[in-house]
Amino acid sequence: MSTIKLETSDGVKFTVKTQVAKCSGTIRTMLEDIGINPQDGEAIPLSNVHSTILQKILVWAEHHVDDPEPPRDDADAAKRTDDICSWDEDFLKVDQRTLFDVMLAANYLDMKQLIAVCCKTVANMIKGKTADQIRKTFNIENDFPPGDEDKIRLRNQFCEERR
Amino acid sequence: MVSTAENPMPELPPEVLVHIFRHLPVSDLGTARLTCLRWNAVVRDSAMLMKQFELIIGQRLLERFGKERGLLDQVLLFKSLGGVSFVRTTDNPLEVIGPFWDKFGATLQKVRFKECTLSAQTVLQVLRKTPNLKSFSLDESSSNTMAYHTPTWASFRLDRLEKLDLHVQDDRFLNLFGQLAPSLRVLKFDGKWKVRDQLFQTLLPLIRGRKDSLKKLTLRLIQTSPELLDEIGLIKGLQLTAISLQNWEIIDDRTLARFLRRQRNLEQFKCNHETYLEPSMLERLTDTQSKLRCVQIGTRNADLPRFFRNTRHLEHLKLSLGDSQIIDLSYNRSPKLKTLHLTGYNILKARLALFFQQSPNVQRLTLEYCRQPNITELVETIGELRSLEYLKLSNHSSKVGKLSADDSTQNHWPRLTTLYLRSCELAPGTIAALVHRAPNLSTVIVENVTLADADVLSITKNLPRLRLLTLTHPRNDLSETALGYLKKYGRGLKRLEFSIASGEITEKYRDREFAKALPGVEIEMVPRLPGEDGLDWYDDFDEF
Repeated sequence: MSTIKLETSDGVKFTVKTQVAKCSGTIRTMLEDIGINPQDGEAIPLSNVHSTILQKILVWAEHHVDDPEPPRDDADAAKRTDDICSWDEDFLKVDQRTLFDVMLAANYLDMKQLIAVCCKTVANMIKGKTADQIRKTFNIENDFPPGDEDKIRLRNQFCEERR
Repeated sequence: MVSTAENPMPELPPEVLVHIFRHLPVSDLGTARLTCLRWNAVVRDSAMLMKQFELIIGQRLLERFGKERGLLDQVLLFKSLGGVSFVRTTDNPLEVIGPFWDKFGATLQKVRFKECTLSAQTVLQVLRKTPNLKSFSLDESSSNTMAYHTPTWASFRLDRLEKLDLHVQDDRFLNLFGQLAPSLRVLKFDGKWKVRDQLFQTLLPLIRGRKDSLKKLTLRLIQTSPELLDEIGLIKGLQLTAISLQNWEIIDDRTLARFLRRQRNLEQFKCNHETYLEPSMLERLTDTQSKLRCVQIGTRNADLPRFFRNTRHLEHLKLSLGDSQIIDLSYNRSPKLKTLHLTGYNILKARLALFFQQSPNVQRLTLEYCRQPNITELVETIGELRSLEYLKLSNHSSKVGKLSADDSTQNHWPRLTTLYLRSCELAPGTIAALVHRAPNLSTVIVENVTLADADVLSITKNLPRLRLLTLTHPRNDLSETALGYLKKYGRGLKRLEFSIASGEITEKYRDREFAKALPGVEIEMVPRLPGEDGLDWYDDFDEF
């Protein structure tokens, strides 16, 4: 089984099965289109990913390496957030900082399935909360000029009147 | 973990935020917009997300605006609407919301009138203030006042209007938009009931004037002459990517062949079953068009081997076939096929299996009015379609055989989220076997299918992700046992709909009973009127 080397932002080198590494669209493109030759023993630099995060992401990729191709974007399917498999659910039971870092790295590495489960997890953290609770959860500062917030709230109400 | 100054929360790029927000219903998305300016801006900048923020103005809201002055002032801050729809309003909306429109009309990209009783002059007044409009829809299907006041000229233009959807009685509207909209890309004209015989003077000039920009054309016309299609095909410089011909009764072979020879960039070709095509047209279609992604067509005795010779780009296929003859679909060559909709078919099981071997990635499958194979064979045939997300079986009458439900069939359809059964006669155990294959179902609709208690039990108990459940039948009620299952296992549902015998006392009693058993579930009981018969066919016609 062929392997390639990856080097993270903090200089740690990982030896990874090619098949697993190819879960990343970014790495796949590097190997297939740009023609980086992993046989040279040269490590592919991943300058945006820290070793702790890459380690985690490789665990995920290893588990999902045999998954079928994801279906293309479908608005209805996208709305669902209750279809995260239990393995992924456990995998993403991490502190928020790590979750966000995994999400950013997945975005950089172009791993659509992983981004999707991360986003669904975050969406579930937003659902059913008030604006204040959301701010608290994600440590966001309320930078609305006073009064604006009420007005936007009212607008939302009109948009929900459709039914 | 709370982030600190040395270890701040990473800022998510807009595309990731949009990805998160896509999973939120409009109420939560609205709250997300309230959290901070950046989140609000990210939502505002995404056309896809903004679709949900459409202001729907009905008569009641219009009257409220009139009475409560302050209300409108607050909406004035609505700098980022997805669009405005007027639905069944009868007053002139500008008399009430004029100031709002003056100020924010210019920010609007989408306006729609649906079943409003307004004069055409009012519509023009509304449009005058929306110079950046991209999409406009006028559906006067239930009103008829406008026809008598259609002006023939306009003093302003909507240069950015690219999508126009007219469902009107008076084709002089086409003249009007000929002046208003210089660069249409999509035109849908629905002259369903009363269009006069002057389309050559109204429709043709409109299309001719937009030959460079117009790409998608839908014409729903009754009793129109095929020469109109000939003329459209002849327009020099016009290169359509999509054409949909609805209710054209008959289009002769030569006319359509000429049209297809001239328009060779079609990606979508649709005719409904009211538009009868000569059998040879099906193969001519794929002979002339090499880019077809979407085909919807009704045919009998077609030369299917020739049709499938050139369908490698096909993604969506809807075929209405004559059900008397045995049809052979095994010539299929459409590896990218995602949607298949067959109506009225009669196919040997083995041949159908060959069809799906060529199209293993089908996601949406609708099969209705089938003579053979029976449901048991059918389910066995499509058992290996791992990508299946939507399955609708309708009007199958085939109480044969028992479907297996063992380890070898478990979770065959891991992605199937919607199962829709309608007017089918099922052998006992069929529903349990379907549930066994699709444990991730979130929507189950069963209409006009006689259900055993065991069926209701397997749906309610074995589908942990079930959110929407509909069980209606025009004649048979659910038994007390089945209702008991609904109450016992239905707590995870968001919405439950089922039919009950009509009668005030039963309805009230059931209402209380279910509200108590399933708090938080939206429940709709459909009173079953005595004597009401089977559900009849309706056409869930997909739009472009």
